[in-house]
Amino acid sequence: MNLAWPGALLALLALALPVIIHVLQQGQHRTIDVATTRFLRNSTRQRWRRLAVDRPLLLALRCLLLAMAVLLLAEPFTTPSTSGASRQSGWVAVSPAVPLDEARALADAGNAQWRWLTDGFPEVDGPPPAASPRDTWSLVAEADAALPAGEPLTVVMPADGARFSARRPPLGRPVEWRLASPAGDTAPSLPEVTIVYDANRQADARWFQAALAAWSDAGLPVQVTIIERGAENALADWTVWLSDDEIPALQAADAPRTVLTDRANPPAHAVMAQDDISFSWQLTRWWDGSLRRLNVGATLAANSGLTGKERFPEQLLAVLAGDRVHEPPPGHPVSAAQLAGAASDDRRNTYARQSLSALFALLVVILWCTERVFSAWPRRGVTDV
Amino acid sequence: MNRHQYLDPVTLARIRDLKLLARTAIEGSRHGFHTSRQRGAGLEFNQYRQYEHGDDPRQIDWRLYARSDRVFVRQSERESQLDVWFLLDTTASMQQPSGQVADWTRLDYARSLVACLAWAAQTQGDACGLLGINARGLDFLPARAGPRHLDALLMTLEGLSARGTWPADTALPALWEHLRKPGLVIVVSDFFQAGDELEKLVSRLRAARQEVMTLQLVTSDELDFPYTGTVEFIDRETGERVRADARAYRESYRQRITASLTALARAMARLGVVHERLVIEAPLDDAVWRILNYRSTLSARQNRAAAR
Repeated sequence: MNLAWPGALLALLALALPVIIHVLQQGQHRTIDVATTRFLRNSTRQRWRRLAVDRPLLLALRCLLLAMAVLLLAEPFTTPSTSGASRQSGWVAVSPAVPLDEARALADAGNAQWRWLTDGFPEVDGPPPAASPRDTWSLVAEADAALPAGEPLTVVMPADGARFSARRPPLGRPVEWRLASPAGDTAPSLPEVTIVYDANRQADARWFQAALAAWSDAGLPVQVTIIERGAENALADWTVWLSDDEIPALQAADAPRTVLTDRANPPAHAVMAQDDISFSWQLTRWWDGSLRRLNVGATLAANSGLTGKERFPEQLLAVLAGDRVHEPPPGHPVSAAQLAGAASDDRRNTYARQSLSALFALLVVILWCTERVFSAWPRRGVTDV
Repeated sequence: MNRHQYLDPVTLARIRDLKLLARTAIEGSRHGFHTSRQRGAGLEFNQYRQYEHGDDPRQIDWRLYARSDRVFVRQSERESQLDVWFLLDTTASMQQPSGQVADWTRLDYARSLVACLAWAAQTQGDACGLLGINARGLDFLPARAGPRHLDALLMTLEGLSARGTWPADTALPALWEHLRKPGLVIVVSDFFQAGDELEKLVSRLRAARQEVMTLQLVTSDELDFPYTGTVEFIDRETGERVRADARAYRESYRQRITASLTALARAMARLGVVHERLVIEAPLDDAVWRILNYRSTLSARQNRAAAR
């Protein structure tokens, strides 16, 4: 048995109360007329000083009643027993986004049951079910609750495809994470990003540098090079072009490039399209690469409307990487290291608890009734004289 | 099976008529003071004695005179009726109620007991007298025989109330004036004495050539001491207050009262006194029956003593 609020045990100090009351009441002695006090005299005066508890059973009953009430306040609960034949060897919960073969390769299952990490946790025996719209943490917490205590839980999920929101919930066991490479396309290679700027736009360049650096927090480290116009060699894979000069043309043999620019007029050889994001991006197909125009004012850093947007780095990533990168986690970004990190030692799993409050409430009621009957019981052998 | 268990105190507490009670107890059980002597006083021959001046001429055996020409007086076995004195302790301790039976005190029991014994004595033709003793004085009724006197005795019993303490020895001479003639004195008390005043009284009675029977009345609470918790005990006679945790003190109380009871019984035996301890919650007729049995043997002894 555990207690949800061990601090409530401080209330046990109240146990002193019935004892004090009992002793005080004892002081209110009765008087009895007797034929003679001859047989009570002499040593009586010393012996009477000794504190003898009258009706000790009643006192014990009252203390027990109070203790039970305090325990009830402390919300006792048990976690289901893990002993016996029902013992399994845990679950391997596989995200539907991960191919089974890859998951089997990742997780050393042993006797563990294989389940899909989705609503209802169906057994893994058919094609992957549709991914649950729910948050990953919610699913993991539910799986944790469904498993008996002490059995291991392994979660296999794509390294990048999970939706994590809010905070990590308290879990009843350490969860082992296995991260599969993203399903489908190859992982986005995030090459170096080169920021090319005119001397008068250095502030903007630094602002972009900061936004790109924010990706590192999301587990997507980007190497940013910042170069003044004229010093660059050629267009890098990804380029932020903050210059009024013409964007150099690509050779036909070159690999596609992605250029982000705020030039009013794209190069004539680029194909332009409109992208309706809150920042009003202009997407331009240029050669096989892309040309994107950031439709903001010339001085980005001074633009308070832009600097106030916390999601700017994400959107920047989405624009640059396009379809090849899943949308990064909203809210709290969760890094791979965080997922696979140290096991939770938080044992206060609220899902696996079986509350004992009802039992204790019943006990308190029974004890209370007994106490009432008992205290109303006539004192044995004593008559009113 | 003891057939003398019909007059239990629960019933007796409701019977306020001592006469009815005594008649029921005695006539019902048909026990007498002297079972084989129903033919009347003076009829049973004992011995002849030379006539002396002052003897009643009616007692002269004229036939013997005719045969022997000498005047003899015929003496019966019982020359006179027996004087039975009930010496009743009426100090405040007699007011002690029973813990088990409602409305029943030691004095109530003493009244009923004396009423029964007086009835039995009266039916035998004995004279009964009553002495109620406490510090305020003597409730006195002279020893006489006859049904009318019995009524008076029962009325006096009804009127008794228990209060005060035992009188000092100097207050007792009146008692001895009434007890000049040898007889039977039945002392009814709780015998919870401050010193040994009752033992002194009994030994003086014995010295005055009285047969004595002592009946000690105790309540069962006094024997068992069933109290619990902190209790202040108040002495009814002295007003002394003793506060004690009753449970802690029970064992020592029992030891001391047992020792006291034993010592009393031993002292009484030493004085040649029949001593009987009666619990006031026990059936009354059982007690009466036991006392009358003693009394039969006693009266035979008494008669022999009187004859000498």
